[in-house]
Formats: sequence, C-alpha cells, structure tokens
Amino acid sequence: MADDTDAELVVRAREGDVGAFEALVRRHLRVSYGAALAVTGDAQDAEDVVQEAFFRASRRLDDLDPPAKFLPWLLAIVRNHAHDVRRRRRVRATDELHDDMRADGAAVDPGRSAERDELRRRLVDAMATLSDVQREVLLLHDVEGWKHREIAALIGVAEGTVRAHLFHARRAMRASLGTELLEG
Amino acid sequence: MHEERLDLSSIELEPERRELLVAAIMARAASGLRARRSARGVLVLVGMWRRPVIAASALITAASVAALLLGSGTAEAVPVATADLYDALQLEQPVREWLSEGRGPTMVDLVSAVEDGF
Repeated sequence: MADDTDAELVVRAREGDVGAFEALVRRHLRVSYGAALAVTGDAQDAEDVVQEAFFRASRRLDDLDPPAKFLPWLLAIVRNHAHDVRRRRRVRATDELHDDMRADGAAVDPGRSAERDELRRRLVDAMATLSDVQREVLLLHDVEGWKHREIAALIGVAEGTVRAHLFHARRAMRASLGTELLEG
Repeated sequence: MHEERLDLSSIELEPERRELLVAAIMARAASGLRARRSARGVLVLVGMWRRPVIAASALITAASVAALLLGSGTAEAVPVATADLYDALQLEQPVREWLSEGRGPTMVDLVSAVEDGF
C-alpha cells in the first residue's frame, strides 16, 4: 500500500476500501496538521480541523477530479475549515472557558515540555504570517521532504515559483525566529 | 537563494497523538466508506441484470403494441378507417398497412420499421 500512488488509493477508497483511505490519511496527516496548526495556532483546534477535513474528504471523494490531485484538494479543505475555526475562535475570544484553556497550556497537552511548547508557539506564530501557498510549500519541502518539481506539479505552478515561495517563506521565518532555532 | 532546510519538527504531532488522530479519523470515515462498498455491490448487481431487463422490456412493448392494434381492429364500435383518418392521425405507412390488413405487427415488421427510421 505504501508504494501505491494517491490516485490508486483514491480509486480504491471510492470503491469502499477502508485500508486505502487509511493509507491516504497516514501519508498526508503530517502536512495537513502543519497547515491546520499554522492557521489556527492551537494544537487541539488543529487536530479537530484535520479530523473534520479527512472526514469531509471521505464523503466527497467522488468530487475529486483527477484523483491524483488528492493532496491539494485535501489541503484546500483543511485550509478553509481552519480559517473557519479561527474566525469562530476570534468571535468567542472573550469566552471565559477559552481564556482558561489558553492560559493553562498543560490542560491541553500535559506531557509536553515547556521549552518545546514555547518553540512550537513561536513557530506557529511565525508560520501564521505566511501566505497559504508559502506555508504549504514550506511544509511540503521542509517537513515532508518533497522536491521543488514535485511541489510544482502538485500545485500547478512553475518550479521557479515554488523556489520563490520557499525562499520568501524561509526568510520570513528566520526574520521572526532567528536562525539558531530553525536550522535542521 | 538560501537552501538550508528549516527544522520544523517541533510542530509535528507526537507518535501517540498521531495514532489517536488516525484512529479518530478512521472511526468517523469507515462507515461511509463501507457504505460505498455496499452501494457498489448493488450497482454491479443491477449492471448484471440490465441487459436481460432491457430485452424483456422490448418484448413486452412489442407484445403490448400488437395487442392494442389487434384489439382496435376487431372492435365493433370503431369506425372504418379511411385514408383521411390515417392522415389526420399522421400514421406512418407501416401502421396503415397493419391496420388495413387487420393485424398487429410481427417482430419482423417491428424490426423493419425501426431500421427504416420509423
């Protein structure tokens, strides 16, 4: 299943193959989560967004054309839902419960070190300043390890455009965070 | 351009959270996916029966037309058909012939009529 293309997995998932859909989930969970987290800025919200996005995708597989475009299609669902969640959260920003959750990070994720939490918060804040396409190119390249030409084919732009998006995204991230936090 | 990859590992899900999230997604999606498999089974079944059903429908249609035409030919109350009446009803030539001969169409008549663009 790991060697199957997205298109092959989508075709099988459309026929009701649960394992094929799970393979798609596992393959694209990381980048979806990163994209959701960068928009919502909250780990729990990002998990909820990703869960809802994959669920919606499973219901709308017949709308996807061509099947090879599963990832950009999924990321569009993630992005739209994440923006909705962020808007709703802004509306309820004065909600007392929400304020308590934000103030008490340990209640959301008790096992995580404070240092990691702080780094994540700063990364998420920095990624929130990027455009959607810059953020997704950055995640695909630096988290998922995709090549420029693969990203270009996926999102339907020239390879040079992908390089430019990546360059500007990294520059913005370094400007926000400093190089010492970011070099892999 | 700066080609150094950024270290974004701290925004990734921890393995146990990742597995929980996969499980939660699949718990929600599985029933819909299984329903797709069932629906597909029904469609395959319908596909297997489609041709016999179409053939049977064609036979029933032909038999119904024949019965109607024969019935109208023998009914006492029906006035004698004339060329003017046929014209008024805009009947095609094969139908005029069947009516004037007082019979319904045979299968050969029907096939011929269809091939002639009736």
